[in-house]
Amino acid sequence: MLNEEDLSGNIVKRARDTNMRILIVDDSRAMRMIVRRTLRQAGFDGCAEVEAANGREALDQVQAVAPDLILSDWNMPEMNGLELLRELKRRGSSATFGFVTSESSPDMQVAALQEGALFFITKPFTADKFQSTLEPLLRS
Amino acid sequence: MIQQSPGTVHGGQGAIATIATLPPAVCKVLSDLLGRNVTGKKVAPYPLASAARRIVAAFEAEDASSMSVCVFDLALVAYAGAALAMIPAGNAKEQVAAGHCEGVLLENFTEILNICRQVFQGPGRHILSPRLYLTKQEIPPHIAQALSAPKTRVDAEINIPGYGCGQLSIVNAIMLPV
Repeated sequence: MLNEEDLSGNIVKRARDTNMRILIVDDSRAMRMIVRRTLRQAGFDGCAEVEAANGREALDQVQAVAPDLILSDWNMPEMNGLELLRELKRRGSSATFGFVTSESSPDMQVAALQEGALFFITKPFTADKFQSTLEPLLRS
Repeated sequence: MIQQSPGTVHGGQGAIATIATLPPAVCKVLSDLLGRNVTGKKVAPYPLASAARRIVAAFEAEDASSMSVCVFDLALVAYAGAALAMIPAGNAKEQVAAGHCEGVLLENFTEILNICRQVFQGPGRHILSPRLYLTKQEIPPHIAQALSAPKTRVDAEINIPGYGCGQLSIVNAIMLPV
């Protein structure tokens, strides 16, 4: 019988086995590195990770690599995270999209969810937070 | 550990809290962000208006109803900026010794400040990305005034394990409901 730990391991392993592609969008290089590190700590170490420094670059990456999961900051130059989400929806993207941001106001969280974001992770975050947020998405 | 200040501050929504709770809140954010047990202890104030080699950050509410000002010494800027990306402490110490902080360390510190604004945020109070003033000449008059005659103030020495200590001052903080 599987316990919760086994189940988590299997789900993360499935993500690894299916070569999941994750796009990390943040204008801070350090923060992109930290998101990568946290993904590895959360067990997503086998996933293919690509990066973008703003929404415009993210759109290019979406076209180039068709990511399964997009983790986006909110405030960025050129095109912010909400504008990126709207543009992706307009283009019919099926990638799972969520925010990893220092924005934490309820209004913004509501706006994000109304626009189609599936999760909202507030900085600073932990590997546990990543795991508990992303695992249900991988299950579905 | 940081002790409670005798001074209290009235929050925008009628709540009352002590300004001394802010440095521990900053330490908590830094600990979570840097993955290190960042600690702080209260220290004596120093003359902010004449302080050199310090960086000033203004955290203003979106509706302009409040503004808190933080002053960081170069050491804290450099050590936190380095710790965020696990840059060797030696690099940060070199910049501090040279009397400036720039490049990746400053870029990283800016991101840290952006995350630290949650300390000043609360129900109905959305804090904008902080404005950063790197030199005394850049500081606008109303912030210079706040620094020379703060209504409330707390000073703390922040220790980032593996890097070192730096100084943080917070003035005119509007407290969150408690």
